[in-house]
Formats: sequence, C-alpha cells, structure tokens
Amino acid sequence: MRRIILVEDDLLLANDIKNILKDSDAEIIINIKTYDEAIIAINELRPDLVIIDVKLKGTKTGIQLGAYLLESELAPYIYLTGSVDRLTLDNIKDTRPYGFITKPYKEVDLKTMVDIVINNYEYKFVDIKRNYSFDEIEDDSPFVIKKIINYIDANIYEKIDIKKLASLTH
Amino acid sequence: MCSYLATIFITSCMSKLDSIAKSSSAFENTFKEANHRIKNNLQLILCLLNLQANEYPAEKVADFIGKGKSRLNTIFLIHDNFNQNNGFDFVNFSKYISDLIYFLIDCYNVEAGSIKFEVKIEIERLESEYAIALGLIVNEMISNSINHAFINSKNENKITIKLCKKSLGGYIFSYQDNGNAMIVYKEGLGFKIIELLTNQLDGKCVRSVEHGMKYEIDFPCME
Repeated sequence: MRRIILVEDDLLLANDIKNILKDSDAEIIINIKTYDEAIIAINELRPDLVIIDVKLKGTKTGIQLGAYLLESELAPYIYLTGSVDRLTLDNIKDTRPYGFITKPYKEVDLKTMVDIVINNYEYKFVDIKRNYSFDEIEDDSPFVIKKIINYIDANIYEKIDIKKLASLTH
Repeated sequence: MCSYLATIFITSCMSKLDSIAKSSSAFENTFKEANHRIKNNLQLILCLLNLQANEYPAEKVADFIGKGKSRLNTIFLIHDNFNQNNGFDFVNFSKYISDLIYFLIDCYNVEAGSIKFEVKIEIERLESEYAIALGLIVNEMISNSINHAFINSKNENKITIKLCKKSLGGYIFSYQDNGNAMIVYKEGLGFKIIELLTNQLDGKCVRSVEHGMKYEIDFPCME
C-alpha cells in the first residue's frame, strides 16, 4: 500500500483531502502541521508522495520543505496553495515540484494529480534503467522475446498458435 | 529663481506621486490579503460541507441545510469582526462570540430568554486563525446544547463560555451547559470537528460531566 503525507495546518481541509483520496489505495497521513513535524514524519515513514501546503504554521514555509525534498530526494512532492503571486511562483519553481494544485481544489484534479505523480516517480527510475542498460545485456533472452513480439505483431489479425511461438524460442 | 521654483514644484510633485504609489501598493497588498482570506474561507466552507455530506447515516435535507448554514455563518461572521486597525490578522473575539450566539439563537428558533448565556472573554483581540477555529468549536458546542442537551431538560438552561490567558502563556477556553449530558455523548461530525480543530490549535480538550457537559480546551499562543 502506498503512503501519502499531507502537510497542512488546516485540519478540516486535511480531513477533506483524506476523504477524497480514500479510494486511491493509499494510506493518508494527516495532522502534520509544521516543517519540523514534516521532516520527522518523512524520514520515519518514507512516503510515496508528500503534499505540501505553501503556508504553514511556524516560521518555516512549505517551500522550504520542498527545497529539503529536492535536496534529499526522499519522495516526490506537490504543492497546495491558495493564492499565487509572481514571487511565490518563482520560489516554488526553484524547488522543482512534481505538481501544483490551487485552492479551492477540485476533487478530480487532486485524485488525478496524485495518481500521475506517484506513477511517474515510480517509472522515472525504471525508464532510466531501460535507456542505460540496453548495450550491457549479454543474455540473449530479450532478443528471443523480441522475435516473439515481432511475430505477434506481424500476425496480429491471424490466429496465433502457441506452439509456433514456442518454436521461435529455440 | 525660475529654476529654483521649478525644482521645488517638481520635488513636491514627485513626493506626491511617491505617496500615491505607496498608497496604491498598500491597497494592492490589502486587496491580495483580502482575496487570500476569502479564498481560504471559501475552501473551508467547501470542506465542511464535504465532511457533512460524507457523514453516515445521511441526514435529512432540512438538518443538513440547518447545520450547513450555522457552520457557514460562523465563518462569515469573522469578516464582521476583524479588528479595524489591524487588517485581517486579529478579531474582536468577545463581539464575535456574542454575534455568533445571537445568530444561533435565531437559526435554531430558540425562544427569547429561554437560555441564559454567561460569556467571559478576557482577551480583547485574538489571531483570526484561532478565532475561526474556536468559533467553529463554539458553534458545534452550542448547537449540541440546543439540539440535544436542552431537549426535555428541567433546569433553567444555561451556557457558560470563558476564554482566559494563562499566566505562563497560552489560553484556556471553557464551555459548560447544564443540560442532559448523556445524550450528547453520541459521537458525530460535530465532535469530530471539535477534535480536529483542537488539534489544529495544538490544544488538549478535556470533556467531563458536571451538572451538564463541560469542555475545557487548553492551547498555546501562536508562535
């Protein structure tokens, strides 16, 4: 099960978001209201996603939390914010977030954003591996699979016999 | 001489322009701040209605609207009570609470004078974030008293609301009614809201039964 940490000092809002995301097959951790609480929770719970309110209780802002995550690469993060002026947006951009949602948020935006960011982050590393590891393959099994895929592709409108596929692997 | 006068004229014009620019940027900031508050509060209202809609078993439409109205109005009243010289940061809390009481009596059709309110607020102004949270808490408590605790209660109905400053910093908020406490123990969304908002204030809420229901919330000052 995935885990999402929601750093939001308005707990009614946090609870609403938790309800919205309850079908997403993820555990949503709320009641994290400050930068310091967030750092502890992130290091302890290793979430798959952190959602950060830009304005937080205490002296440190959500953007500083984003900067911490940019540096530490512990988890992908998206921001949640009420109003955005030019300066805030520039500061936000500097921390290279994976996404951004404005308040008042729409349910569907929140759901899709969360799903896409978690998915992209998981595949980010898979894709990098694919690009770099092609030349290093010494085992010829990927080429066998490729043969089969080519055969299926070429005969996609025909009846494909499993024995024929098996014979290609020899 | 001419050039001297011209210099004075230009300088005075410049300083006027300067002050116009300053006041217009102050206006712009106020506008931004106001807009931000409004958006935040609208978002809060949406959340409250969502929470209400998720409550199970579903309520009757009339109850839903009644409770929705009282929660919405609690937030709305904040805008009437911003401390005039301090922008949106502080609220005249004592007036806010009496406005809220006045509204709730009207909202739930309470007969005039049938509930005696004793309100003691020792703090002149309170940070707006705290005021909204406490306002919503008070709203749930009074609604509970009116709709449950005072039904068939034999005493003269009385509600006491207090907010005082602790000598070592922080606040103590207390609420007490003299109704039938046992009925109120049904845990619904109202209690959840009280619990969430107490957490939001970094506070601790103690409930006890003392000739009615008593709540005491102990919470620190804002950093």
